[in-house]
Amino acid sequence: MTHPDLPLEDDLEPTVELLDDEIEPRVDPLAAPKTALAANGRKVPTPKQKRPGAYRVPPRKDRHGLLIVNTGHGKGKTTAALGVMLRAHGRDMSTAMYQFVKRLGNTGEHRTARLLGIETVAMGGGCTKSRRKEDRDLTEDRNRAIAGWELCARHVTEGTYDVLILDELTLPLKWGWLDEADVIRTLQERPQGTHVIVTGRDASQALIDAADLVTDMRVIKHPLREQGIKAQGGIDV
Amino acid sequence: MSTDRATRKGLLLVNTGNGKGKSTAALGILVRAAGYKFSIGMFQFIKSAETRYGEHIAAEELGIDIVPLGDGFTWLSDNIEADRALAQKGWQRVQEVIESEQFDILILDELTYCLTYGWLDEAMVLDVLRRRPSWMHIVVTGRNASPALIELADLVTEMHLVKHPYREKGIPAQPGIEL
Repeated sequence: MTHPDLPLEDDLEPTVELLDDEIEPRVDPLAAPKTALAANGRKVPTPKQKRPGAYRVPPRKDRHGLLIVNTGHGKGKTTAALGVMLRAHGRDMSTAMYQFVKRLGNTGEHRTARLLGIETVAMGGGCTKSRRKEDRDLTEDRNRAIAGWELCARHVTEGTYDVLILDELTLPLKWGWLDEADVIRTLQERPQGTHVIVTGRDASQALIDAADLVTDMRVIKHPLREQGIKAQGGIDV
Repeated sequence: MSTDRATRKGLLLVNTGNGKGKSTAALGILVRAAGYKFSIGMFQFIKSAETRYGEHIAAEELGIDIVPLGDGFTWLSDNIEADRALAQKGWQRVQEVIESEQFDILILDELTYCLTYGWLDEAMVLDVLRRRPSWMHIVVTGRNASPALIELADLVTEMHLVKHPYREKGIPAQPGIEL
């Protein structure tokens, strides 16, 4: 199968040299203090929070679970999904990101997710653009996508997460590596009140029809295109 | 790694358009940058100090303070002069943090509204953005970014609304997704 020549976001991946440092264990500043005992043996009451606490998120049965699609050729598809991930985490909702195609599991977002105790998994074999050009065998990439979808389909169906991000899922769909009808059916039949965010270029009309919220990220200007500036840590990776 | 100020090319990013994802993508950059221990400042125009969304709580966990510039006052009041004063006071603060060079990445959420409504002088704002340190990334969000702002920016994305649950189905904003 031939694929159009697409500069993917992770074309930019080899320009960063990632450090392999240890990350300190998560500290939750909002956690209630451990119950202390006063001198007289009585429990010391937990002090009231000065700032308003977490807004109460309704139970799943009262939520409008959304299928969100971030597509287009502009920057912001994955990045906006990460913003929702941050919000959801702040609301104490369970959230995770599973990345298709992408290979690097130690970029800025993965590091932050580890700090916050959010699961983020890069399941791909890396950018396929140059390998497609050279007409190299992509069987392993395809198998990774298929195995990745099996894992994600299970999480979708079981409703493991309140907000689940399926990053770059549109690509294996576009390349015909996954059965689109099956993927869309699985997404539509997910449990009540769960949100799923799909990102990636060229979302199909069928996926757009199935979605509740679709944004097309359009490039007006890009530093790589206009100025030849490559991906930078903290911005692109 | 290009996280070093000496080798970094500071970008001016603009997230505009009528779709979802302008502020959310700015938050995504915050998530990425926090992973590299960048110092990050996020200032929100329009939003009031009572605002405490999911991102405020989660950012605090990362040791990042997202500052609503509303200062306890309501934006978009009936009093245009009050709104303008609030915007100018907020901008004063932004100018100070740019000059202090404390942040590697500065997010100016909903700044475009202050320009659209004429609360801030655009030429003055653009001049401050242009004269920022060469390593400083600034992200500006909001609808209707002006041609002059787009001209100055390095990266501009238009978030184009294709489908929205509020418009299509009347589903209101929900915690964890929109707030």
